[in-house]
Amino acid sequence: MLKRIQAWLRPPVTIARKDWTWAKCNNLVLSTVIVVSLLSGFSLIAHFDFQKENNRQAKELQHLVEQQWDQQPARHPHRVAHFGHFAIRQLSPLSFIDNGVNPFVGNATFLEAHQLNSTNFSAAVDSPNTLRFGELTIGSIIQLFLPLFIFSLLFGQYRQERDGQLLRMHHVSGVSSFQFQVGKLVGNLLIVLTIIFPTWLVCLALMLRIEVIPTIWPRFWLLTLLYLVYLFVWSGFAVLVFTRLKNPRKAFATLLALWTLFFIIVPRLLPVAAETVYPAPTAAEFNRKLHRAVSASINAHNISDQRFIAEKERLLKRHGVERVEDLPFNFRGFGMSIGEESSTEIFRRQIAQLEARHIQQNRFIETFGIVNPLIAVRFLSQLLAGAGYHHAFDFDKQAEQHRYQFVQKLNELHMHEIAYENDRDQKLTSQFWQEFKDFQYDLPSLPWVSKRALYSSLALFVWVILTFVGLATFKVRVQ
Amino acid sequence: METTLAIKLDGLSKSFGNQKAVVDLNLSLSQGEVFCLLGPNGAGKTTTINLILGILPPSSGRVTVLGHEMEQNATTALRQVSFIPETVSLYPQLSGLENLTYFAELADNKKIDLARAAEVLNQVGLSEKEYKQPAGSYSKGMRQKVCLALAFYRNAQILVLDEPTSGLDPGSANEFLRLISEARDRNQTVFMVTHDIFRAKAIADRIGILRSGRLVQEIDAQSISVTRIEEIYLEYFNA
Ligand SMILES: Nc1ncnc2c1ncn2[C@@H]1O[C@H](COP(=O)(O)OP(=O)(O)OP(=O)(O)O)[C@@H](O)[C@H]1O
Ligand SMILES: [Mg+2]
Repeated sequence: MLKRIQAWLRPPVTIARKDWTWAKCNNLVLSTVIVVSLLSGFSLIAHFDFQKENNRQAKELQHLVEQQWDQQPARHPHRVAHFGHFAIRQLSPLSFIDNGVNPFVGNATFLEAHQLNSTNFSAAVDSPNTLRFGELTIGSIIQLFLPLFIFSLLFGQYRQERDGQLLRMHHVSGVSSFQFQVGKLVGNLLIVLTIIFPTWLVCLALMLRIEVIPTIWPRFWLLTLLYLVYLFVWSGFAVLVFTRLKNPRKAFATLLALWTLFFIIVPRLLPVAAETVYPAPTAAEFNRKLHRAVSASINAHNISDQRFIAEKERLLKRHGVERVEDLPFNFRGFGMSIGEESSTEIFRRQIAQLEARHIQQNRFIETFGIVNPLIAVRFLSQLLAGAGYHHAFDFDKQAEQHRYQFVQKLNELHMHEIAYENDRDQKLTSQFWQEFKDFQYDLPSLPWVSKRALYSSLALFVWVILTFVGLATFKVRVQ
Repeated sequence: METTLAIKLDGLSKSFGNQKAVVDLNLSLSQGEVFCLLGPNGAGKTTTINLILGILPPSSGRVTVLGHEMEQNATTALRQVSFIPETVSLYPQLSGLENLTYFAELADNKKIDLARAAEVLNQVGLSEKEYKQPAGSYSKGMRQKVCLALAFYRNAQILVLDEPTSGLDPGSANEFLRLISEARDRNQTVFMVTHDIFRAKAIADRIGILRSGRLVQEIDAQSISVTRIEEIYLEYFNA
């Protein structure tokens, strides 16, 4: 059995090797190698520097924010709750490979009591944007231009082999269409991989220079695998088009047309279509709605609120006292706390709704990954790089959690460290502020990522299967 | 038990649109036989070869090579066949030797004996300096010689040749004939299309004449003189 597989594989290997040799002495290929290496090397380093500088500043800023927090003078805790806190967004460590939606989401969120200020929950960041062209990262060069390069490589080869009747010589040598196509696919895949290999090494070297945080190495290797599969799919697809259409010029023109459609037109139309099918509210609409919902909730600032009064009565009964002054804690702090709880619940519900809308939009776009592998790969690449919309939402969620925690902790202090009498005139010493945790964003876990990667991975997998089916069934036309 | 025929054509026909290139061809070649197909330009000789090799699908009829039906089992059958096309093309950036080893490896599926490859190339009249040059710089005859060398290197059971001597100088053409008769001595089967009546007579066991896609005459080459063959040929030519 193994012998038979080996025997079967020999002609494809021979063909692949020959194509690789062909590329080695082809000037066009050589100049492309140089151009691609320069372009991608340049982009890689530029993005890496940008990310490094950006994150250094972000870190410094976050540090400054924490310092300012700690250095607050003696204050009333509710004053501190409104003094607030900035959550500064750092670029994900893999952004230099794929910067995803980074250019379109905000860099900082101001966190304070009963307020929702957000980087990208608001629809002010126009449309989902996941499919916009950012500045070219190495990821986009691989996604957009390497397929184009594969097409031209194959065009050069097929023109020679078709016109020179060399395809016929393969047929007469007893090479099956399947073997021939596999050989071509592997050969050309090797050529593109060779081209991108030096740049990827640079990438690896840069990876070694970034701070190690959990999941980034698995993410990096998965990205590598993803691009490999992606290039495999396009090599296979192109080989099939070239064997199917007799005229190499026609095949090439077809592939160019498809490239324009799949890589330029569709990625631009899809977000527009998604917005039409699942319209998201504008920032103003969203804020109006949020405001309405919050003012309709338990409101600690409004003492005539019916639910608030009911809540108060229950509390007094539980503690067997008549007046709030007799409670064993500061009732105002308690009021703040339940008010925060209820408005936060509303925030979170509204945010979840908005997020669900964005998820719908993105799902709509993602669906097309089954037709256009670029969509699937772009989505997965952004997800793995930690630069997709899922991560943008995750940042806001973590920031919101941080906000809730410190505001509630302040309310606790308000309840227990500040007396009800003369509430406003009291202050807590500055050492209380030191006990608050700094804000730190944690990159989500791999299971979190894989759950979100499921559909697009499946789409890409279907493409791989289809490629194999095509290779096994398409007949090379030799005449 | 009957030995398997090398090539068997049953009612083979091919039309391009309404032009009939090959019409109801029946032919059997036993193993070790040398068959030459003569015929004017456009008679359908190359088309016949394309049908034998499964390059073209027949409009009707059947091709069997060494017991394998071409329509179902082309790749197996073709492993036993060496082919020299009417116009040989090679990978221009590879040398003659590299071209030879490439196709030999594809067809034979085994490691190349470089010494033997060089020897065969020498035999067909390519010097070491020549066969190490990129084939892009070759003349028509030199390309043909690489392909000849490939055929003899592989030692396939069947040789299918489309005007193999047409681009060769007389010295090389004679050397080629010698190689063909050696092949016959090794019991290889040869199906050769040619315009060279003289050489056909010299090496063929049997000669067929094709005209407008029909096999109009089959001649036992040993029992007839060259002049007689030429007479017959011209008769059909002018008819
Ligand atoms: N692919 C094709 N499409 C249409 N017609 C074809 C095709 N191939 C061959 N023909 C026609 O079939 C006929 C036979 O052609 P073929 O090439 O077999 O002739 P031949 O005997 O090899 O001629 P020559 O001695 O010039 O090589 C010719 O009339 C030719 O025009
Ligand atoms: Mg011909």
